[in-house]
Amino acid sequence: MLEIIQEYWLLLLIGEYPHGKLGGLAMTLIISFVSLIVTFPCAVLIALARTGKPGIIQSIAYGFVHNVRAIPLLMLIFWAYFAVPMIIGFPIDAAFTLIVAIVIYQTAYLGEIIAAGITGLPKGQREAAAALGLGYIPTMFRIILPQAIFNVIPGIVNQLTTIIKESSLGSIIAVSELSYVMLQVNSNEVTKPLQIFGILAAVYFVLCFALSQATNWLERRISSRRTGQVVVEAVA
Amino acid sequence: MGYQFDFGKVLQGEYLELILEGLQATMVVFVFSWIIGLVLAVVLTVIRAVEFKPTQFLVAAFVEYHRNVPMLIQLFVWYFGFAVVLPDAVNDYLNDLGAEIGYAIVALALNKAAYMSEDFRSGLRSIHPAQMEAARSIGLTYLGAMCWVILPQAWRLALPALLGQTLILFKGTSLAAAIGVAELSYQARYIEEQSFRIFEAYGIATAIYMLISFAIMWLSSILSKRYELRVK
Amino acid sequence: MIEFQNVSKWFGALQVLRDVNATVAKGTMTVLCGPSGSGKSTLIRTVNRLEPIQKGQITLSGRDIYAKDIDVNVLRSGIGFVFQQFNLFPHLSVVENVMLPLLRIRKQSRAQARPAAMQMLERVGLAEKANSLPADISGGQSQRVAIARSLILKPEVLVLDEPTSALDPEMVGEVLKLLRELSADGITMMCVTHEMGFAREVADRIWFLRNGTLTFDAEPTEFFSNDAHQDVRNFLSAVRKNH
Repeated sequence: MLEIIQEYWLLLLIGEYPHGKLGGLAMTLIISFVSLIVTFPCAVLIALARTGKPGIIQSIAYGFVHNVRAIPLLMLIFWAYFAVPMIIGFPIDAAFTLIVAIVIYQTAYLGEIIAAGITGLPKGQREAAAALGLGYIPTMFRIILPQAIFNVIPGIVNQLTTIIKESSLGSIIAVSELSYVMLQVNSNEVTKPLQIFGILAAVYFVLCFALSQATNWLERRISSRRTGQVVVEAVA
Repeated sequence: MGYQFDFGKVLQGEYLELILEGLQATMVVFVFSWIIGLVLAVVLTVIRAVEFKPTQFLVAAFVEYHRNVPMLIQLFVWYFGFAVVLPDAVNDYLNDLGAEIGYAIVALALNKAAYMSEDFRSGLRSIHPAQMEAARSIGLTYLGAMCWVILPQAWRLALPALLGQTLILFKGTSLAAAIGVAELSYQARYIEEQSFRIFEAYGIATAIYMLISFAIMWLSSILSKRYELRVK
Repeated sequence: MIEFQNVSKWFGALQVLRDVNATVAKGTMTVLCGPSGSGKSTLIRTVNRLEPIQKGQITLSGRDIYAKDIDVNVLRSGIGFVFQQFNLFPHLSVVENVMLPLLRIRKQSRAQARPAAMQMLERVGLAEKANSLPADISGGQSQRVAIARSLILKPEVLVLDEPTSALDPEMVGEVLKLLRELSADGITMMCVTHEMGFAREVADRIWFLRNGTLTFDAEPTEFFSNDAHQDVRNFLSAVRKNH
């Protein structure tokens, strides 16, 4: 196992960079963070549409979430991989199509998490904003969203863990992220699959376990802040 | 864009047969890994409920491995890793049987067992301790209280999460394509490569996935309402 | 009928009951009162061994409840226990809550248990709610169901831990009315409550606890007179101010 790490650690971390394409763990992290950053504003819009007035926009948002949740991510990746270049008329990088697929998929999930954050706020917050004479946009962006997003920070970090795990599907369409690199190592070193996939699993585990511990820690902090507020209300 | 849709071409003869075979494989993987996963989840929950540190640690480690490593990698570990542990003769025999689908079922079932046991555990934890106290003060034994008061509430509390896991599992069966199981998305890709009918091949596979997903969602909402535990 | 002899209990280093000596006579109603943290709830929870004691003895009808041949579950099924928070089982309907002890402890069939449970619900005035779920009935109704459930095995004693404290004011009356009726029927009862008017009217004896010590044990007339212990008079005037 140590020989494999000794021989391939650089490949595992950054792929063939700087002599070839960037890859490995660095690529996995780049894909994951970019996906989360692009997903976030889309998810906020979906959440606003889902929690807004009933009507055509709410129906479209509902339809989007409901339909995307019914499709395996792998199918979305196939669609993005084959259909996107055909629609736009020129070939694009596989990593880009992977990000497109993850963003579409995660917008449906993160959107629901943020929507739950919005509906979980006490009704009095909106009423107080309305009583001050604030319109819809300032109410949402100055009063509701800052609180809702703060309360769902653990959920957002948890989605980052999910995205990191989902990015491994890039190996199916030859995106040179961590899993793809190790699959190639495996085909070089035919006789050591258990060690190679053990190392791969361990790298993901350390990354995701750390993030999920962070999620738990954030959850405790944020919920203790919330219960702290409740206690103050009860005393007053 | 001069693309001419021709669903007829994909929906007949050899291609139709491939799609149906793929659907069958998808359902076999889904149903078997669901059943095995659920049974294992119950076993894990019981083991973890017993106050014995070493076994509790082992279950926790099992759960954390399956939650923090990508599903795809878990499949690879079984498919590539497990085979080298076995003697060649056994491997040949397994491969004749179609070992890929077996590895896929094992990997998905273990993964779901980890998640579902967590759902059961949080269902158990969300029952107020006073329920146990009330049951004991009636004169029920610990086992009687578990059997008639605690568990009937626990599975109802866990049900929505378990149904959510069921949908995730169904969609997750598509990953079996990566280790060569000829399920629905594998067949879609094969047909696309053979016929160059990208939109038709993926369109039909996607439509089938969506139909079954919607059925699972619909059933989930009915069951969740039917068995909802309302606590004041 | 129930006798406490030098009963003491500790939570870790903290002593919560100090040498309690007292007797509850058969067919009487004993009310326990005292400031919060005085040990009154702990004391009644020792009766069915929900709280173990570390010193002293408790006897029920002359038998030590910690005797070797006593099965704790048989002991408990002979003592009705009512909680402040009702603790109905939310997955069971009202009548199923009352049937549960008959089905699972007496091992009766549903056909046997149901009429008996219905009769008990009739007794507490809730026959028409038999098929409702606990989530769909009021707090007062929930507590009456809990009382019906605790009486279904015909216990020797009914023990109630602040049965009206979790109720909205307008629902306290219906529960107290039921307790009055049960007391008139001659059921032996121990009840922790802050309802001093009820205590004065119904109780045969009132116990006052403070810091785990039973400081005063008297009939209501003496309890509410000026001869009562100074602690009792302070407590009563504090209770009156709050009401």
